[in-house]
Amino acid sequence: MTAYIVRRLLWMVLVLFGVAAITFVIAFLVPGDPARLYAGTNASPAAVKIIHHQLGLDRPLWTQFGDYMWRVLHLDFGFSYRYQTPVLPAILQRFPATAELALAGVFFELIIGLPIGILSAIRPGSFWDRATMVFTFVALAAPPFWLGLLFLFVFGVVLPVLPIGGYGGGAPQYLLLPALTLGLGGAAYYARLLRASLLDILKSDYVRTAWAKGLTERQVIQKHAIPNALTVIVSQLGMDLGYFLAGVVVIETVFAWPGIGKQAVDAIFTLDIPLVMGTVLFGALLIVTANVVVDISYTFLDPRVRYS
Amino acid sequence: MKRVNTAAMAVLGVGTILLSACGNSVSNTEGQPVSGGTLLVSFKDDLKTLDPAIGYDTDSWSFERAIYNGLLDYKGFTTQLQPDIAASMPVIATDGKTYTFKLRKDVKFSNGRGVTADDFKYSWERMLDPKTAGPMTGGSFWGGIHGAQDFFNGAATQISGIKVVDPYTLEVDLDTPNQSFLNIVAMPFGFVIPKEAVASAGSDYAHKPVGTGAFVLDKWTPGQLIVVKKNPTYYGTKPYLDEIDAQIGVTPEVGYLRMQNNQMDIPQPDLTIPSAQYISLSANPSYKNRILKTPNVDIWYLAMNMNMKPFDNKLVRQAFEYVVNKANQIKILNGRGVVNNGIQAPPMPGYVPNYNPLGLDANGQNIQKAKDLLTQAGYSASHPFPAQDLVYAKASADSDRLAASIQQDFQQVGVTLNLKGLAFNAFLDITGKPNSTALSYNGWIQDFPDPSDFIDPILTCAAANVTANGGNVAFYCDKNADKLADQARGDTNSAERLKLYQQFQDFIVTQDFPWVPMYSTVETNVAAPRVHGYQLHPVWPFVATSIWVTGSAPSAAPVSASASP
Repeated sequence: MTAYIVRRLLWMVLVLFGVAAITFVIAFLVPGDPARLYAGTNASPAAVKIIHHQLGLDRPLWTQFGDYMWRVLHLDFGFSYRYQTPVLPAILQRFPATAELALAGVFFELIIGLPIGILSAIRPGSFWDRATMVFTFVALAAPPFWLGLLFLFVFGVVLPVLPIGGYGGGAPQYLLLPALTLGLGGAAYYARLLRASLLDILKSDYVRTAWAKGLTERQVIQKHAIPNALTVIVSQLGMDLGYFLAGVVVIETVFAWPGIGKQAVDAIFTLDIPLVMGTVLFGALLIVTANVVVDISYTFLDPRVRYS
Repeated sequence: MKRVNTAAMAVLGVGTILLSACGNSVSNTEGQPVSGGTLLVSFKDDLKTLDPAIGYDTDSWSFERAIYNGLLDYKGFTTQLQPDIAASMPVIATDGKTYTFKLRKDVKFSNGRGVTADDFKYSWERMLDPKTAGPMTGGSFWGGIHGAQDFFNGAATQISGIKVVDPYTLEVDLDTPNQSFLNIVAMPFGFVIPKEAVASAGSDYAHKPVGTGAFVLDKWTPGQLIVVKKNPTYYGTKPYLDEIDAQIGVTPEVGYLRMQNNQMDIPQPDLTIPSAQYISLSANPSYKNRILKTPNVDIWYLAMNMNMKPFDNKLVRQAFEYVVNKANQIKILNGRGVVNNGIQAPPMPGYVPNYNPLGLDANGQNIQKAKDLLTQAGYSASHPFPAQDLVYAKASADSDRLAASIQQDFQQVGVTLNLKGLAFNAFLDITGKPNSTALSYNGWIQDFPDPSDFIDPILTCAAANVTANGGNVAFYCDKNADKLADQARGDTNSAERLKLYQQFQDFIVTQDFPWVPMYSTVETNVAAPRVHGYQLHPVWPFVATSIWVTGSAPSAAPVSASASP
């Protein structure tokens, strides 16, 4: 197990290096001069040229990349052109808001998705099953941008019982709508995933054996079926959490939630290369870490899984 | 200034020529001003900087204008200059090259220290220093100060043309006369800052500004909130407001929704109302009469690259002048604009209302004339005009519709345009390089309201002779036109100077045809009913000093207390 973890950690380093290299190249392939956007569109070509030099953009690409990676090894992610501030503090300053939203989003995914999935699988073809499957279709199809604005309008304007977006220091009334919007799509996906997984498991030999032993439905479902079906959910959950923590752009934009996702998009549009690099690396680190944690958690959820 | 990304938004603004006559159509200045209270505004993006040497966008300028001052400013809500920190308008030498400014002696920075001429010399040299990496370094508007070029290339450690005569007298020598220098001095780049504040803040001065203005920065939580409070040491007329809270990261959709729900005073005050919200507010009885309008000093045009085929043929360029249905463009902008057949914009000095030297119809067209000219240029059914890409920035919800309308116009004369919408950065990149883009849809928004700003950066040989990042996207270069521009820039007789600029305009519009001028937009904004005295400024993106508020603060204004994570 230890050897496995060490191996995965080494892979993480390689993956992050690859992500950094690819992002760096892409950032320079995108048309546009970061110095022009930094300076302002009316700035003279002479000013842009000087700024280009001051930002070090006139050096060979490999030199810039080498310098960047060397600084990253010393936890120096550079200076944001857009925000005129060091990159790492800029990311860390916004990360708590994103983390809060991500965790709340996952909470809604689970609290809505799991009961629906289980109840639908227990009574396939029933009214409940059909009704919830319609819900999952709608929730999966609804674009988060539209859903978010709809929630804001209904709960913020028509009723009005909740604030119209904003962070409010992370207070629950501000968190509820963005977290629900974030969680609904995932909840629908989880419901369908769990339903399909449970239906398979309920037809398996060991479940039939459990029935034959005379266990109650509750015992069969709780002790034999659900634990096995959950491995699929855990795998997806790890991915989701990593993805959410890396920034949920649309939700943050609609709800004026000051997380790293919106910051990343702004950085892309302004060609703020240090901030783009920093955010991508930070996000990649979270996603890769989440994957490793999920893989390791399999060994606890399923005794048959062993890493050597 | 062409606004980053928000050039997009500027496309959204519009009105009629009547608006310039009736000013801002202010509907909420009623009652006696009341001091006190907090104004709640919102911005979509976080501020880039509060360092006046760096900021070159409307968001930054909105706050810089509140925190800092320069030697000169615009009188009220006009384009007329008046002294600010200067005690009087400067004395200009008869050769037009030396400006002597006398400073007021009662001006203090918010740190308590008095402002002297040394502070201006320091601020301006810092602003122009290549190490500061600000947009005015290397030349541009301030490059004409004597000794600036030596300073840029490292041959001098200070700019010899900026002289401190005594603590309250500053003298500026120019290499050549430039009548727009007074406008340049009034730009935010000319704001004064204290040396000790920069030394103390180091590279973080952008977030720790110290100025002389009506407000001081109280709090800046990146991505969430900016709070400015009334400056007790301000030397000018005190603002009515005690405080302005700016919520950051609020999209226009959410901002206007909040305003209509009494949770916001002014959404995105530095940009015009987006089309969707404008339509909605115009139909709302509570707000339709509260929408403020003022002409934007801008011009939107098609640029034809004169170095590229087929636009190296003057007859082709001339034919294009008659094709675009400009009235349709304005309809797409919900009527917020005015047809403009010239290169100057209202309400700038030198703007000629109803300028129409080509005899275009009310839509700005003469289709038969265009067909005739294309025939003269050698194009016919057997030799059709080659299809062209129309390159434009996909910067707003209206961009595609505006370009599509032009595409349809050109079908009437047998010209096929392929629409090529690009992200703003890609658009700037491709149009700013020579021999890269033949036909593009552009806008130019003032840096300051003077005709020189609509010529020097975008229609001179110097602006065309670049390898990248050029503003002269038609790559127009004519030595005679250049001579006219030089002459006008240095002419000390204002009336004569404007005549020269009109000659330049005639040159462009009736002889060389590098552009198809189309329209100028009208800025629109709106505030909640409790906001009074709100007016739109023809130069500054947002002015809060005239505003007072009544009634209770918006219900969602807990930001001061709770925004910190």
